[in-house]
Amino acid sequence: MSGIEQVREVGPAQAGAAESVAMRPAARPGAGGVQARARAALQDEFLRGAVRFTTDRLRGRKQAAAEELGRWEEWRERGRQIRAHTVEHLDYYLRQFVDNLRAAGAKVYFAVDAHEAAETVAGIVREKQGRLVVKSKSMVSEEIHLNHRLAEDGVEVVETDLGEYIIQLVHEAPSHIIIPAIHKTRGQIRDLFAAAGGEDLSTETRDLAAFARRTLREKFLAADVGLTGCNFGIAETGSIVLFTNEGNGRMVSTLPRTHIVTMGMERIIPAWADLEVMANLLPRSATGQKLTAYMTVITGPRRQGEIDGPDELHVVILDNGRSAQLGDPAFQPVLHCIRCGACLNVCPVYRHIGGHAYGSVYPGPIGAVLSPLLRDGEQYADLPYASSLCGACFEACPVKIPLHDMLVHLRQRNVARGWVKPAERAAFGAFRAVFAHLGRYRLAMRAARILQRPLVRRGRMDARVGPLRGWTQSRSFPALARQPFRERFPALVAELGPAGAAGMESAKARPIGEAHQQAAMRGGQPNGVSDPAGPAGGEHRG
Amino acid sequence: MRVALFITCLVDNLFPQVGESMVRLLHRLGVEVMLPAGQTCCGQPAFNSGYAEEARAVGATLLEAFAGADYVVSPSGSCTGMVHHYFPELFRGDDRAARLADELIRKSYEFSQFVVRVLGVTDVGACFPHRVTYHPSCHGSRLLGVRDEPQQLLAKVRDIELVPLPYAEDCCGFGGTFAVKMGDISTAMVAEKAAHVAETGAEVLVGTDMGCLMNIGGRLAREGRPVQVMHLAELLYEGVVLAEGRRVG
Amino acid sequence: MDEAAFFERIARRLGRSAPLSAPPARDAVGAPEFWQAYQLPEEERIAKFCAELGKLGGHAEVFDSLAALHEGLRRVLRELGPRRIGLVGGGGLAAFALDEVLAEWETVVWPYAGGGELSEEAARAEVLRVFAAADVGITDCDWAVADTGSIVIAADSGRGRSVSLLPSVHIALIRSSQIRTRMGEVLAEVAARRASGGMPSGLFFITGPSRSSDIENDLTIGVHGPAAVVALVLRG
Ligand code: SF4
Repeated sequence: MSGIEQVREVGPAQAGAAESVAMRPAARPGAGGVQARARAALQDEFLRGAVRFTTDRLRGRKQAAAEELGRWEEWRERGRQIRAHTVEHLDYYLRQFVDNLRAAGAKVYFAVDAHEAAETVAGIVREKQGRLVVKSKSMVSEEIHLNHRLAEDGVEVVETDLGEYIIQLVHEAPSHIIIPAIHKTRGQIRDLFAAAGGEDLSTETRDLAAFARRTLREKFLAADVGLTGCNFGIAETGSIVLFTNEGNGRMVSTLPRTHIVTMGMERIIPAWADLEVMANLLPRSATGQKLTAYMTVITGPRRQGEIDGPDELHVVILDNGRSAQLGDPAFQPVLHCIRCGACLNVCPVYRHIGGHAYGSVYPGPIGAVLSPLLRDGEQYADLPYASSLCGACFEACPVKIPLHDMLVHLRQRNVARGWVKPAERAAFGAFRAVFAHLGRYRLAMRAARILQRPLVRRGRMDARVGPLRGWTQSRSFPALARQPFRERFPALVAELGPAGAAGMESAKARPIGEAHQQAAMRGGQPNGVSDPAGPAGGEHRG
Repeated sequence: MRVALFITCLVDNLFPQVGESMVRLLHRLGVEVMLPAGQTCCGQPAFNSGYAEEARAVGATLLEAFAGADYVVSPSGSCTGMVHHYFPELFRGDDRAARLADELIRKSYEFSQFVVRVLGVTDVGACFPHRVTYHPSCHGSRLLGVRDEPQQLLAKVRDIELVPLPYAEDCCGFGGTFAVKMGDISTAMVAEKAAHVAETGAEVLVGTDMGCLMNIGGRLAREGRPVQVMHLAELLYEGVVLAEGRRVG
Repeated sequence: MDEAAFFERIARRLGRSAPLSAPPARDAVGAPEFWQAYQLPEEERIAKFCAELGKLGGHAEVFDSLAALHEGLRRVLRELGPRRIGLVGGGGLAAFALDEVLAEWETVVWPYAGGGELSEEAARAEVLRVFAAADVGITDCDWAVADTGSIVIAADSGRGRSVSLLPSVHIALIRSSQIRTRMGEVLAEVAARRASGGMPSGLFFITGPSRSSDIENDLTIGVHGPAAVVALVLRG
């Protein structure tokens, strides 16, 4: 049983939130497919503005940080090489990692799916008689729906990353890998904190953060168990690397007596030397920082004589659909991901609809690829269509994952498995029948030119009916030209004569006056409104 | 030099004047083009929707049609990008087709690439006294690797007032079937793009891909904005004619 | 899940009949070569470290003598006016001979053994409370990184992890010889300890004050960790 779907099932903790006014429509899980959720998100002006504002800043900063480092492409390529090599030899490096973890005194667990992982963590917490668990940000814990599972046992789980803390107070899921509360205003945050005990707060960031610091400081000191993710596991020493900015990762791994790490099985790098590459790529790609405020490398629990640091270190290693990508040339590279979120920040779709519209733990381009792969089934089969395939994600990815190609391959998989509408299949069958044969192509275009006539007004189609309505509801569609190019071509060639006699040609080719006329008309006439019968024929010409 | 025109289904049927401008301009640059008859479409609409079989059958028309050409030029970075980026995997396993695809990749160019890289021309002798902004299409730049060739050509146009487009590299929301299938998202994207175009105060939006241009143009038209949309070849050719006229006059 | 089955599944998917047991050959290890060759001369290294830390809102100062450093530390502390100062105990910091400078303030030294007859559990909780209540934490360090402005501290028994974490201000005393150009040099030195079994249980790269942009992307400082980081660098 995968836990991904559980995030969308409204659990007890979320059921109350679903009624709360603070819950935006876009954030409600499970409301139809990505299209329906996207529509709701698009109507939420604040959400769109907030997401755009933040992603703009992040990508701007990332660009600056990449330029400052210099030779970014060489860094990216090195990052790709390291991740590709590790994943290609994951059996070796994971083994080495696990052996060294144990040698350093950690306990290691393996979970084949989300359910097993959550049960394992719950079991450790139970055994340690943990009542209060403090947690720093971890996507894997979201993936396995851990908070929900621990709540069932009556364990209090406190998110300590400021953004996670905020969304935990409203019982929502993160909407961005790096900035979970990207969709919340300071006013909303003030109200949340007020309800949580900080009555006299202003909406100043400083005051809000100070409230969180005070409140959470007590939790850190009182907690029995600290839970973190793992950005990288270093195979050669069995070390866990955490990148954080707020310091909560350090708190969580220092103060409670038990430290539990949940990590995806692919999160390995072979050697300490490789960490330098990741440390140069990850923060820059995530937040445009040279380095996060804290990079912590943990090798086992505290040693004899050390006072702080955990007595016990437990590491839960999760498969949950990851191993199924190994050996698949199209999808194995998805395991190279370092969860930086850069692909979200440049994605025009993400920027418009926000994270919750994806309806999965992992949003944005990486989510549209990873979610349907990790949870193989129809549930996330529509996510790969939430992309215009513009390729911005690939361009931004610090380890060069070809996300745009993977999106296409996932669509192919949907077709192969019959997870598409019959009408769509028929349409592309027809496309093939017509476009693969010149004769039929010509005939069909001729027919289309006749059929479109009732719909064409002044060279364009605006009727909001038929298969193109997704387009025409918001845009004009150009009419087919009265005469296609290939029918004009012979006359054109005859007119132009052999190339080289260029000087004469322009006067012959087109009356000089016509160009003048056209130029003079420009600006006076709205774009694109031409007589379709004219030689220019298209909608977009003056 | 046998230069074949890969006209693309979009330009063939919807925007023949773009093809005409290309042919006339290339002719002035001393290039005679042929139009191999068998071509229809690169198959991208099907391929991007996940229908590889269908895309293969359609894309194969290009392999045969262009087998005899030395160069293949198209008015679309997206369609040429499809050939470059996806034809190898599409025709893997069929030796003859794979060889033809490989040849096609090596000899095919998008229009601005061809003019700048192959012909070595950046100044086509055009004059275009208007305020113009340029939208770089995603597939051209990211799949095919069109760099600043269009800007190089535009920079040499006399009297042109080029204004940078804010967030130029953001996708316009076309994405082929995406625009229909995910109409709401696509609309939000194109509305933003249209707003950025309007912000520049440009009279003309120029680009190298009619898919994007008909998307942005369709939105501008719906919003009633007085911005004209032109393919780079159209702008350059019109500019050449204008310059010629000025010299004659 | 059964561990062997977990690994066998991975190996099988990767096309191997059994998990790989010999180290695979690697052609690209660590940073690109041009970066590995990056080395700043000492003076530039010191200057770069100070500049980078400064960019992050930290404060760095360089001193030519111990006396000057003492003076500098006194000045910083007087400005801050802490009620209580937490200090790491043990080798590195002792060499800075701070007793006289710190005489004006109430100090606690790690590992704090006050509180009398407490159970181990209670003693630990007490230590953490005491250090959480300190306004300033003073530590030495093992390395510093010029390129990123980072202070690097390895956990050991004399050095609480908490001293650089819980107080509102962290002051680190650094010898200029500890400053490396790149992070990779530090990583290599740590990795080299592996052979001797001397891997630290925790290694902390501290790069400026604690910060967050989680509220409307507005940068705020001192969320959980220290709100101010001061590096006092002694030449030599
Ligand atoms: S896919 Fe690439 S860009 Fe996206 S989160 Fe993963 S590493 Fe970052």
